[in-house]
Amino acid sequence: MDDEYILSPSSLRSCISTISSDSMVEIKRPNDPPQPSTSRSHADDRYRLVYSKSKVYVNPTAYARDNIPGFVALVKREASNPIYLLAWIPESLLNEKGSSEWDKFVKIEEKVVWDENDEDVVLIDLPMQRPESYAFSVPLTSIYSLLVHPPTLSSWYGSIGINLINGDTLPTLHFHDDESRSFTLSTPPQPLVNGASSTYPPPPTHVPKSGNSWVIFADDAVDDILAQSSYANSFSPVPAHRRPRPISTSPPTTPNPYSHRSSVLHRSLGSPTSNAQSASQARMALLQSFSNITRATRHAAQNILSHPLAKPIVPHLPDPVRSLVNASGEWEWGSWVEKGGVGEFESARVYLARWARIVAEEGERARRREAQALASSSTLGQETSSLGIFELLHSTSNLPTPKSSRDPEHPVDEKMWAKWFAEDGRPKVRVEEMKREVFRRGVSAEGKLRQTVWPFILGVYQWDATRAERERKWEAERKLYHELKDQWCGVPEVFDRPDVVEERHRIDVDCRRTDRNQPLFATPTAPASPSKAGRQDDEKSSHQRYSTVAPNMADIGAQSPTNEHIDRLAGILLTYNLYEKELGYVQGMSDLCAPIYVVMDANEEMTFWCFVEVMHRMKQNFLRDQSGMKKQLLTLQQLIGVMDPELYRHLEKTDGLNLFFCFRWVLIAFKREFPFNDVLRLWEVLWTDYYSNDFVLFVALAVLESHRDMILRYLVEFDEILKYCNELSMTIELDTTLAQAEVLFLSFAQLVADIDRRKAEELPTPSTAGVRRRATTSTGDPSTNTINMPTLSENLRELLNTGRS
Amino acid sequence: MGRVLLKVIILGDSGVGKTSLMNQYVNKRFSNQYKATIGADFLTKEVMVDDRLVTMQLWDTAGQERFQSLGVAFYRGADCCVLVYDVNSAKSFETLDSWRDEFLIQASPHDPENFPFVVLGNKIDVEENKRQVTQKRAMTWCQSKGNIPYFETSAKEAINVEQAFQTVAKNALQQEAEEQLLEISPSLDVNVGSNRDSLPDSYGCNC
Repeated sequence: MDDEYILSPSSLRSCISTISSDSMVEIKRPNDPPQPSTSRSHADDRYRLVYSKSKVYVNPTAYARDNIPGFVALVKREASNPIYLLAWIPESLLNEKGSSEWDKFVKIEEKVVWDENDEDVVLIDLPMQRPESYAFSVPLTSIYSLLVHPPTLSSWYGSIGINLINGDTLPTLHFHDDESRSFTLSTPPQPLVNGASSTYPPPPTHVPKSGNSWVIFADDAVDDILAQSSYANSFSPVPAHRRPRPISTSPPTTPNPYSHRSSVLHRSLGSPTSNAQSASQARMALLQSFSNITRATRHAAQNILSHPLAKPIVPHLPDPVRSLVNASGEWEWGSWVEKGGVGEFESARVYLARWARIVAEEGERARRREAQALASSSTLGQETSSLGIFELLHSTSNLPTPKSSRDPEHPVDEKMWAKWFAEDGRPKVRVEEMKREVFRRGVSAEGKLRQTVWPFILGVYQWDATRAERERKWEAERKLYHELKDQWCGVPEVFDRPDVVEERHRIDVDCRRTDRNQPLFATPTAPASPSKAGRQDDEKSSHQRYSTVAPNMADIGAQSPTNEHIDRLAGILLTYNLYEKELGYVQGMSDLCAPIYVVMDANEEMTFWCFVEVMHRMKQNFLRDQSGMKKQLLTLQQLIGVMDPELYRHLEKTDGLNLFFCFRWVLIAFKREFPFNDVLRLWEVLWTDYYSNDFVLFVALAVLESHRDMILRYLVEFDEILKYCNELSMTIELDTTLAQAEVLFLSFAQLVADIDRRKAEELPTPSTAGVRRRATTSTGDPSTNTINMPTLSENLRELLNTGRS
Repeated sequence: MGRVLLKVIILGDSGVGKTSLMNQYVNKRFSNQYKATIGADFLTKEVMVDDRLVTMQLWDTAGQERFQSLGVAFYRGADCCVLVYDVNSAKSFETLDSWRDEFLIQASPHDPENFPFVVLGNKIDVEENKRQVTQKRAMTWCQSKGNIPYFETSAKEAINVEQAFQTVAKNALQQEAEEQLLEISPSLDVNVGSNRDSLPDSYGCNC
């Protein structure tokens, strides 16, 4: 049984190439009769412990407190026909057997050098299958597949799922390597012989024999081998169910209906040339996977930390993470991961993408600091910016790179604002100038300037008028609001009309959960719930009965408590609902209205009319047939096609061209993506319509562009992109994004002008200028005489429109 | 059996607690600060079903009908659909029919008659006198729709949430397995060998 002989120590060696506890110890037992190979457990057999690893957990429930620590072990039943068994024994079970049994496992785990002549052989009692303790021992030959989940940053512990040929699944083993001795021991010794094989699985004949030591894989050689095998995928943070199917080196002889399984063993079992070989390969794979779980724990961290981009942040990392030797892993990384806001989504790819982004940002900041320090000595005549892709775009199309004009450090303040008006309130500057300054600088959050400025930007107040004229007009608007409101408020026939009740319900449910962290909306009013008030008879409460939007419990169900301001917000939305009858209340409107209410300091009339103007801009998003949203997303899609064909193609491949991951961004103008105060700053920029009525699409493009490398590199499924984009919420830096959006707009405008000019001149595009644009996916109907240039759709041309009627 | 991804869609009127239920189940957290869901999002959770490790992907969508036309992309390939209503709101119960119909139209599963749904009556932590839908009424409806499993839950108090989603996972896994059997059965081959019978074994007859 040469095969068997080779396999036991060598596979063991490979298994522990990083852990180096490859010693095999044996204690003779009195009785050693040969056993039939089919039986699983025979008291008289000698069970030799060949490998042991501590702190391997079984997690019976989702709660960490229920996790059971134990040892995973390889046990050789020594007989004429030896069998290798994989076992997991809970610590509690070993404890029952006394400290000597425990010590055996520890000893084997700690052994560094394997020596066949080692007299110090360890024999153990074979653990019995005990379901209640989760202990198991199964012959390796009964294992059908292993599902290896190497550690990732979102899931620090690697795990192995073991499926048996009979269809059973053993409890998943979680490798808590930070607690395990074998991981915290120093680096493994160099193997005596480096017999790295270049194929996987390695044929047994490749196994060299040297003295008493058996070596199959040197530490690094395992990496090489794995890199060439499909198994290497388990190093990648690709969740098992997403991994590419294993690629067989030789096509399987029979179509395998299970080929969708991503399994280590499956591959080696796929085209067995002989039973012996396939069994040996199976063992090899098993042991390798053990080794890799531990290895990957180190590597995952090391790989990331050794990335050049990570350098600037390494000094700031907590010591255990930096050194990684003592990686008191879970806690440190856990908190780090926590900070990153990871939690629920286990796809490491999404996490890695985000992580890479953080590292890149840190790196960029550090680089800029350095560049500043070296500023004067720099001989590079070119100014570096963080606008990578746009530079590329412009270098290939020979257009000058536009620059952002934004200056958010110096917002429009009370003084500047006052200077723009004469004594009588008539403006001294043109409205375009005011809008340009607001676009560039934003409005100071100091005092109540926004209350003053917003009605002008939005068009509630007329620009070219005197103060007196404005006040007169406003008085009319105020009245009109109350007339509108009185259509429903205190009017039972309207208020309790079924369709109105339904709208009240929709509005109320949403208002109760909109911006509740804003002081105005935070505190619930304790007394008299509206439904109770409705039962009282006096006139006042009857009026309240028909003025408080909240419907009865029967209609609305159990919701968060409301308060006065929430009710008023709901009232404004219900009034709008009667003002703009076509639309009806649509989710998202409360998100758009609440910040205005806060800025206007609970001024109902002003909130209403500002909201009307905002909705004038955004109505299309809320149409019943969603045609407006579809159009906007289509326009964005076309914009990506023109501005970043590579990203476009990637989205095409990932079924992401519908851009649903931008849906929330566009629908409510990034309300959910930025902190409250940033939302105010963003919106006033958008409302100026300074460059484009649809500047929000350029903001969306800017966000996508600043994450394009992560998306291209890591995210290969639509749901991953969606998750990634959803989780960008509250991580986007507003001013950088706005600067990028501006540059993108200007680039786009240049491109359009360039295309039009060339078309007019009917010149062929010079090859240098055309490369990028020729690759552009046609965004409209491709006409034959403009093959070299993208055809701009009507949607795209409309992006250049500014101003509203 | 390899690792399985089960896609589960959670539907129901706005404000019945879809997001809360999902978060309670996956993150063991409750907050009454959840905002109305805009667009779509999902959470994933690994769960053992019949000793099999599966990954559940729970999709949470906006509760307003207007946005449902966008749901098609999300519904496709679903393995189970969870219908949620608020036991304190009769209306949210009465719309279950249309949620169910809408889902079947949009997801167009192979076998609509036997597609697994699970119904959750949420917010049972609220005082009893506010309750609008009796357990009996809900169960009668579920029976009439082909014995849909029914759970009364509280996302707030974490009542029955784990059990409900365990059933969701189980039914979704069964659905997934049936779909896969449909897909792979033409290529089943006797040469595969007798030790590869794990699939039929585990799915064929647990009746």
